[in-house]
Amino acid sequence: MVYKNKGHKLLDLYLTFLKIGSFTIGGGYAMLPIMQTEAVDKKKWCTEEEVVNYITVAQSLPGMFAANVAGSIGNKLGGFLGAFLAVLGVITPSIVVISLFANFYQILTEPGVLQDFFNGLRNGVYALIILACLRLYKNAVTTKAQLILFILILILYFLFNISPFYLLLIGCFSGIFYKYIEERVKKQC
Amino acid sequence: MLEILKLFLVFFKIGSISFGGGYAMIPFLEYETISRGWMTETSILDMIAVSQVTPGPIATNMATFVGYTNAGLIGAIFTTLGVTLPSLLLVLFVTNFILNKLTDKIKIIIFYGLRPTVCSLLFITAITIPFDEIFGKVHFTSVSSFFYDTNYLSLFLVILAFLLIKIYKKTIPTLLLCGIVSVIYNQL
Repeated sequence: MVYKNKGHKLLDLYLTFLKIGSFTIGGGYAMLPIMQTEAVDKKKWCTEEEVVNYITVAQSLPGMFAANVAGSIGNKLGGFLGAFLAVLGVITPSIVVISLFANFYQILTEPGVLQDFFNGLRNGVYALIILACLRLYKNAVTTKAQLILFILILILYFLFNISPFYLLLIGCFSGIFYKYIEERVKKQC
Repeated sequence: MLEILKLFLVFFKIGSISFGGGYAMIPFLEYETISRGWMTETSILDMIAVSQVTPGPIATNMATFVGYTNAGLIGAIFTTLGVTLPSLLLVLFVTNFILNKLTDKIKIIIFYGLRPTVCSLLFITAITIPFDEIFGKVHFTSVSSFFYDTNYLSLFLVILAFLLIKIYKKTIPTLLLCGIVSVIYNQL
């Protein structure tokens, strides 16, 4: 696509990511396929390989997955403003739709059919969280050392009620420490 | 104004610490918002359900919801920007550095301990929230009251939903089914 000027290009960037954000139902990962067709196939903003790189990096960075990938593509195209507009495009649908929902949320807390419906719905969500945890477990806990850390974090949480933020730091550093020791032992052998 | 700033900063914090996206941020969200009275366990679960059928990532949906209910539309804009700003900053200053400089080996070392920890925290959420709902809050007073408070409908629906989603991979129809069963059970 040929752009008349920089403003036109940035506008297209925002609108494209607005579209991507609007049509992906059900969370960040659902955005990837449509992001690839829009940015790579249709607009030719970046190559397939670049997108894969962005995804890999996004997986190893904190922050929101979809926003990380969108921001990376936007950054490549239009620097800071490009990244900002791409991320803004992705989050605009959330702001609009959820604000509307929040407006009507009060109705759900009143007894009635709707409350019963949501009470039942929540049980399905428990199953979703449990399944997400099991899926994560398969990739996250692959060695004995990691299993020990997994259990240790549970114990620290239930016995001492330590904040998840500190537990995250403890987990990260004990992993680094373990890898360091492992490396030392290997060298000595 | 102060409230909006507080909302913004808390969601900035949540955004900068959530690894692994989506469900992995729920333990942090729980910790930060429930104690401040911004959300309840119930509203968090409702938002996860709603996020299945609305556009946008779960994290931004949660942020918008908390912002809107506590400080209106302006609050919603600030919390949602807050939760995404860390991503934006990382993209601008760190992504290219990682792509060019950081070796795979360093990435593996950093994630070696991080992944089981994130999983462990999600596991805590996955067992504590359903436990309260199914077995009631007073489950440790005596053995008999433990059984008395058990919500068998909840227990049944959780197991049903688990099996249906695991086998057929159909999230939205399963959630709707859970809602409908609950309505029928309670209205009859």
